[in-house]
Amino acid sequence: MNDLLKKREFVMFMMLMVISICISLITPTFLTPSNLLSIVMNNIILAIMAMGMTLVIVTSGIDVSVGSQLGFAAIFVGLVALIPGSNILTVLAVGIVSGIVLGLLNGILIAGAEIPAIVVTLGTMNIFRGSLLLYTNGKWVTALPAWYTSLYNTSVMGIPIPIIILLLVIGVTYFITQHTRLGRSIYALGGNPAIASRVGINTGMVTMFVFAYMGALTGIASILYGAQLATIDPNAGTSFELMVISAVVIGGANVLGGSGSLLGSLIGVLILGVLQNGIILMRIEPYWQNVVVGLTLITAVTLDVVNNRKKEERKKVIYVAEEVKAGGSV
Amino acid sequence: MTSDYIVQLKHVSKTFSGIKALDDVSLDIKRGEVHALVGENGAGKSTLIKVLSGVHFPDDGAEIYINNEKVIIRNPMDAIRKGISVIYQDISLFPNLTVAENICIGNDEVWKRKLNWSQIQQLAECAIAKVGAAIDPYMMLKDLNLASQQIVAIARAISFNASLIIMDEPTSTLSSGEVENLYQIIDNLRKNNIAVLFISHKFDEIYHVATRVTILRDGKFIAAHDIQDVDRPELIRLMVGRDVEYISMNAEKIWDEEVLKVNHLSKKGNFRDISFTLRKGEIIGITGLVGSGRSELAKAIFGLNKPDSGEIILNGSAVTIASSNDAVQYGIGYVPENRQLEGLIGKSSVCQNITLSILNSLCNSYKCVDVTKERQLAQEYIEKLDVRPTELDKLVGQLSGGNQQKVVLAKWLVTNPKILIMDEPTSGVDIGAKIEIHKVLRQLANNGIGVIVISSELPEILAVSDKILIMRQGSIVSVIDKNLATQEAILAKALGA
Amino acid sequence: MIGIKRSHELILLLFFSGLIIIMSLLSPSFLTIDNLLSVTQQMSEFGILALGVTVIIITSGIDLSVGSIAGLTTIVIAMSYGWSGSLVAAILLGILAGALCGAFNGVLIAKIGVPPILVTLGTMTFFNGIALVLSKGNAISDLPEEFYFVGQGYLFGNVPVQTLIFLVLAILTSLLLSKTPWGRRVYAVGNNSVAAVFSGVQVDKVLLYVYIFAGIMSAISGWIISSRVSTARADLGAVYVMQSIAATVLGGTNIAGGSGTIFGTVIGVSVFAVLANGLNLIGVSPFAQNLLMGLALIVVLLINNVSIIKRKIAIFIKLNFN
Repeated sequence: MNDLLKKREFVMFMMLMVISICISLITPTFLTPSNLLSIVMNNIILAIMAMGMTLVIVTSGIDVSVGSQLGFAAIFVGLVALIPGSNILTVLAVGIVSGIVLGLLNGILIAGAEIPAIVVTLGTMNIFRGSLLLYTNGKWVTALPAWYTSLYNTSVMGIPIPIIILLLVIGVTYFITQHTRLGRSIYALGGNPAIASRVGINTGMVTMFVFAYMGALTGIASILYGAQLATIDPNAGTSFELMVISAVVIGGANVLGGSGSLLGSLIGVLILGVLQNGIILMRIEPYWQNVVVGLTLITAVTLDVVNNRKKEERKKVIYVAEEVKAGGSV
Repeated sequence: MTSDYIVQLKHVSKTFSGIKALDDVSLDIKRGEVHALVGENGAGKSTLIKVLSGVHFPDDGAEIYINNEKVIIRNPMDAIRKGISVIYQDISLFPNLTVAENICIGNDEVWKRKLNWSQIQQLAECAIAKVGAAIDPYMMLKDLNLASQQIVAIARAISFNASLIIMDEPTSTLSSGEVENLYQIIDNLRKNNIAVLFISHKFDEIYHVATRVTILRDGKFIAAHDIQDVDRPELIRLMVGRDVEYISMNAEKIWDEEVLKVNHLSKKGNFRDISFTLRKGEIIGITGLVGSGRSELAKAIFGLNKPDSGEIILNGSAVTIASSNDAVQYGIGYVPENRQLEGLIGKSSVCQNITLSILNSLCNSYKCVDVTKERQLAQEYIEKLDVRPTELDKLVGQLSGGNQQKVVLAKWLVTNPKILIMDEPTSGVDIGAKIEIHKVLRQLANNGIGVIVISSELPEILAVSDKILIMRQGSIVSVIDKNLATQEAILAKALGA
Repeated sequence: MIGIKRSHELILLLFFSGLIIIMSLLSPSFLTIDNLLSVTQQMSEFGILALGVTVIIITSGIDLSVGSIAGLTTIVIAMSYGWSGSLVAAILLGILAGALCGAFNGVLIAKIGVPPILVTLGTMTFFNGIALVLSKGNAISDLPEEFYFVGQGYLFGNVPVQTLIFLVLAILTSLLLSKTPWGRRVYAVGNNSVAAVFSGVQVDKVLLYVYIFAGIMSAISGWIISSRVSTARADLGAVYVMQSIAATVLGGTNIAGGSGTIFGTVIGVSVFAVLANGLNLIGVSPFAQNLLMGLALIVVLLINNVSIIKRKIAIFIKLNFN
């Protein structure tokens, strides 16, 4: 698709560049390879989950349970990693499967019972977190085996494994959205829900897939989460859903459905990551971070609305005055 | 003998909550012909299209034949697969997908689990070429103008091997050049043996492109003719001739006092240089085709559509009406065209709908709504207007169309308006209620309110108005005194025929 | 629609009564005046937040920033007490700050037309950020003794002050919604904002006041929380955001707008409070609370939508097994 670099993404990319340039002028350490790498490495989990959230938001849904899903899957992955004889594959399977189960549960409730996505995921957010806390009794999972924790820092052919995983996730998601019927149905459903079923789209199935896929990606992210931190708190991921949603929205996805690109969401993740990193490097008190992030989000969505309204205004013409003089159309 | 019919409908009826939108309609379309479907607003054209395209399921007893084979059309996709495609006025495709995707979506040939883009592009390009247009298949649909979007919809129909393409007022949003282009396309389709069912209000167009014409009126089949066998006056007569007679009521008194004067009001793309005067006690009828700018003009007077230039003068002084709240303060009431969407709070009670605009004046000393007073007032008006059932707490969404309209009317009457604007006051209302509403309008005028009635229904305009303004493409093209007007003359002016 | 709404309130009341019966069977100390009063004490803080949230959801909006506003209020009260030494002035300033935050949301939503979920997602972080910047990320606890009254004091023997405040505010909000022109307009806007505009209702003004109202409620809630914990901190109130939305929806307010009552919300809040308190009494891990709150929300809505589910299952069976 050649519209990838059009308009919205480009504007956000320029914004990212401006922010980066400003920071690098103030602090020279910003623009060093090791710092840039660390920005990426610190935001892998956010980026992976933002890919899934983009699809959710494109269908005009939302998922506020992903933070709880992350904690849930991470604890499970950690517990499995502690079992002697488990290896990367078992960990991978447990992470993905538990994520899919949680996500699918959301999808079934939303598509099957027609309860709004925000309400369902608000409920499951508490259910997932609650059952997790109950199960672990609030205890952390610690003493994770080295083969698991080293996952985060190992490189294959010079590329750190988390980055490889992120690239794979981006690749698969890109393939789904651009080269499969399902992927285009996701966009169609968000773009004109009233007629989606008229062209043969099974809207319930699409909704369920989107939430299950969100779960699967959260599962993958949870594996990296445990490996990165080496200990897993059952409160892991609390409020993380807001970060994910913010990144996707800053990246230009429309909460009313129909638009949102993977590239945009990745830029959104980078903007959040760069801001966070810059604040630390510039030795600004860390509590300024929320002010900056909040303002960025508010500015981005407000500009979007103002721009869209201008476009709508131009479309609101009932006939073109000059044509009347020509008298042609009657 | 029927071998050359591509689609035949027999005994098609469709009832919506007791009201017959279609009543035993038949329609025969020959292979490769351009068939015009005409009738006034509300004659049942849209319902017929929706039955044909699988959106509505007809009542029992309907027979649909495609290629002389009796079929049942189960859903929209089924209709498309059976060779019937519709080009809707609003296109009804996916603005956020590309042209190629919009053409191919749902087409089993190429729209497979794993999409092959070169195949899709090829099919799309092929279809676009068959239409005889040049559109980049990778463009987003929303980035095209309406004319090109329409071509995409036609290309989509062709790629599904349509044998009948239904076009719902396809030229209403096109410029003259684009219309010429569309004629060319229709000509092309005919050469490829594809039939076109063409719904239009514009007579020039009908005589230009159609070979046959079917006339509907009040949901019934009236006649089908070869186009050369019926001239314009005859066609107009067939369209408007009706069994019901409205009671025409004259004004008891029209005061000299001008309650509203509009001077050279213009808004780009909406209406141009509109001037007229409404006197106390007078009913002005505004008519014209949908899209002639009449509703936009009404909304401008009600503060919902800011004009670019010109002035509105109320009781002698020029005013700026910047919001609907301003309009209400100035004593203007507006009964909108779309009752469900714009007129009523459907999930709220009759009483609460009626008092919504005057809540502040119903307050007691505690700044709370005085419910006793409120209910008395609402009761008074539902009795005055004979709203049935006379239950104040009934949800307004559960009333019939006529009674809903009376509730909207009551909402404005309680504000004691000086000016009342009514946009299609009786659309979707049964005939008994229509006549009642007309009586109420005349009564209001006799009590000294200036009334503006906007309607496409000519007998209604003739029955209720004292003066008739005819709008076409944003301008007032004619002002006719009621006594000198005939339906045929008005229609001719409105159509520009 | 009214049928659905009534059935929802009925389901919820049955659910609530069942819950109370179970709790009193499981724990003899549940159904005592003292314990019930302490239930009301626990529910007041987030109940007050839920009052504002209810009004917003009726207009088909949502507010994720109420918790941050509460947190910011605690800081404003504590800091302005530090400068001025007057507790009354400090509390008034705190409530003013809440109203301003609400107005900030309201202007973006009502005047510019940004979707409420996006605005409040942003301001949730932004207001929290301001609170952190003001307090430099610290907790402030040098507050006078009198300040603790609303969060820790009792009136009429053993009735918690915050219970009384919640009660008064709930009745007030309920009256505002059902009796005043503004309340009527709130429902009208949530039901059909287009028709409201066409009736001369100033929708932008109604919405602006709705968000200001929620801001004030959040501020009052923040004041009580910080009085109870004798501290001001930016993150006080954050935990209640999702809970107050969930309780509102549980109470029958339609997330799509147009319907909902304060009575329903109070029951929704009570369900959560009884769950928390009862589980605590019978010695179930506090971790089960989250789980049961989420389950309560989903189960009640599932029962509510049972006809849709039946229809879908019928279609599914028809498609796959016939």
